[in-house]
Amino acid sequence: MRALNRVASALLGIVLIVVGLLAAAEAVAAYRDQRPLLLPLRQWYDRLIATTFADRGVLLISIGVGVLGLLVLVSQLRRWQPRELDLRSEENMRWQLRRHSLQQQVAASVSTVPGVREPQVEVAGRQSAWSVRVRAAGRPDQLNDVRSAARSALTRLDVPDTVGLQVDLTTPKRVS
Amino acid sequence: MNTGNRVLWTVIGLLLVGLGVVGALVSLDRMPGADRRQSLLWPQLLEQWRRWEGWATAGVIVLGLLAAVLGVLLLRAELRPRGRRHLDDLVSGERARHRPGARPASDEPTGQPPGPAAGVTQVRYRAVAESLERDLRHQQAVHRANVMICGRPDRPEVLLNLTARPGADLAVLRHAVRDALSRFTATTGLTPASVQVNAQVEAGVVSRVS
Repeated sequence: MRALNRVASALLGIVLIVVGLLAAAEAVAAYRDQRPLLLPLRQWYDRLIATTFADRGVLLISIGVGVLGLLVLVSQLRRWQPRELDLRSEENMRWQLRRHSLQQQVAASVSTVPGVREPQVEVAGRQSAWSVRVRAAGRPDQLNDVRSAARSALTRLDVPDTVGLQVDLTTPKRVS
Repeated sequence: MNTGNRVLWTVIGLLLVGLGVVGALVSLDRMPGADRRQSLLWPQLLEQWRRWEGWATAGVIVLGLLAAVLGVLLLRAELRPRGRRHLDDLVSGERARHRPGARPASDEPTGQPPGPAAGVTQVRYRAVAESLERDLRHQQAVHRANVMICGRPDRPEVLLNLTARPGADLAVLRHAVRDALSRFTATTGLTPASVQVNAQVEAGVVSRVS
């Protein structure tokens, strides 16, 4: 979403430049009684004064614009997963770790436990206050081994022990 | 920049919703004080434009140029890494005192552009940033390092993007970064007012060289 926002903003910037310069150029052309440079302004004008709000097209376009606005609003206001997670900071130094990297490192560590498969690591919370949840397929008696593997990965990533860690194991299906 | 973009698109979303709702309400004749039989543009607009031609033209030109300038600023912010401008080249030293009429660079500005003079050292920004990048890359735990220095020269802000090797210990990396920054300060004279480190660890097998 952040990348999409950035691309959309860059496109908006380009649109503003083109439309702004074109509007200024058309205004100059109109002042000099020249024909419009690019835009069929006369046709637009004639059409807009002939179209009333009662027109069905106006209603449909209004609904379309409103729905588009709602989609934009929802996409911006819903909660985004943090891309970076805050680590312990020092005086003037702020440390952050990429969430994907943390998930990958913890999952890789958990998968080294013999018999434990398909580890899935999720991060819950905000960028500044977060916790880790590990789910994997394994026997219930491996819970401590998985927890210890996950914690050792977190410790290597300099994540303090105060950061929550929840481990859930599901019993692997037996192949008959 | 992410927050700025989010605010920008939230405002655009609100405007679009408002526009859509008002348009639909007028079209359905549910808007008090509005007549759905009125046209989208009033027919007298052309006459009004002709009556006010000079001012109207000037107004459109000003608004158009304003929109274009905003577009340039927006595009520039999006194309810049992290939406910020990096530090200028570092300039230190004074203009030569022995030349007649020459004054130290620290004196009041004379309005004259400072010409090339003996004793002035200019260090390119890229060289400063790359020196720190190279130092960080020489650390065992670091595979890739990207440095951006912004803010003012007397209060520089350093942004570090580090990719650590598989199996790297970030506590060790912290020490390495701190040491590299100390060397950076000793070499360049820049004391970072703030440092932001964005780290990630590469996936893969730990390679051990004995």
